[in-house]
Amino acid sequence: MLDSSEVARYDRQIRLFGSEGQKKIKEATALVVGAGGLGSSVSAYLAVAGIGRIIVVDGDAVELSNLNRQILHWTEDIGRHKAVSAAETIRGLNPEVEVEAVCAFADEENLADLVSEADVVVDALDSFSARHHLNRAALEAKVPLFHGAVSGFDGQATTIIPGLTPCLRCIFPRSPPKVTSPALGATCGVIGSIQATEVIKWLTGEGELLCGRLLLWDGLQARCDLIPVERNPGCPDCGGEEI
Amino acid sequence: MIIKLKAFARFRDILGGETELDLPDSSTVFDLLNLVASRSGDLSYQIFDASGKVREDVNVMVNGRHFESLEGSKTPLSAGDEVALFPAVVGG
Repeated sequence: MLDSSEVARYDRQIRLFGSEGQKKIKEATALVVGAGGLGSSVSAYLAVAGIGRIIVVDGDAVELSNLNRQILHWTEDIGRHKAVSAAETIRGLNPEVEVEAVCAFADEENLADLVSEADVVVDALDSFSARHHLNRAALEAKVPLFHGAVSGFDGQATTIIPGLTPCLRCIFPRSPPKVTSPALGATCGVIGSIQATEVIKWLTGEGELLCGRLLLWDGLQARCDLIPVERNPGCPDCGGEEI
Repeated sequence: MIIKLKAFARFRDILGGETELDLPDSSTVFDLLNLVASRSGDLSYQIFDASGKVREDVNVMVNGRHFESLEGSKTPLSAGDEVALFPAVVGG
């Protein structure tokens, strides 16, 4: 049940998916893995949309060079844990949202427990080795995974529904070397917003998800392309099988 | 045989968005990339590493499947295949 304050706060989007849709968002827990550029954008939009609970996971501390894109962290946050800084800003954006900060790097050890608490998992990581751990954990828990990645003006996103779509390892079987990519805040905003939109669509049942399609954003050309992606029958993570 | 190549991001700037390439029968992904790379030294550098292998930060999809989950650069191509070429995007 939504109270009068919630009805007022979410009035413009209740027009999109009704009170029932809003309640589904309110009842959901989102695990956002990474509190960098993408994590900032996704978390901010999920928070103001009224997601019930956000778990923010990041083991890093805020640095000055983060602030061109990681909009949950401000100058006075330099040196603080990103997860704590992010949680504080999220609470400020929407005090109705329950926020939990996990000051740890996502790894094989902790991801299973974290994912088991979530209805949706957002990939806001910065390496494919970590993403593959997250992919496995989401598959095992049968929780949807909303992938995003950015580099400079370029970005990509896709939505992974265990048992229905190719998994992240089907699409990207290897881990390119981790590099310090050039990064633009606005690109994080584009891709993070797409991820947040996908989460809201999944929760409310609206629209057509980015399932089996990889969205490629080319900011320099202001182009957005979709390429079909298929399961790998020999995938070591999902086996390429429908459930 | 005709292969449709779709290039994205920095590869689109050099190759154009969508092109049709006429390759000999029984060509592989490597043959296609080699043909494409022969167009400029800069492009060759962007696709292949110093040992001649496809760089790890390059994605090649053949009909929606990453070439590394097929037979790598030895993946055989067939007439009508659609190949997507785009750089790895890793950051968050």
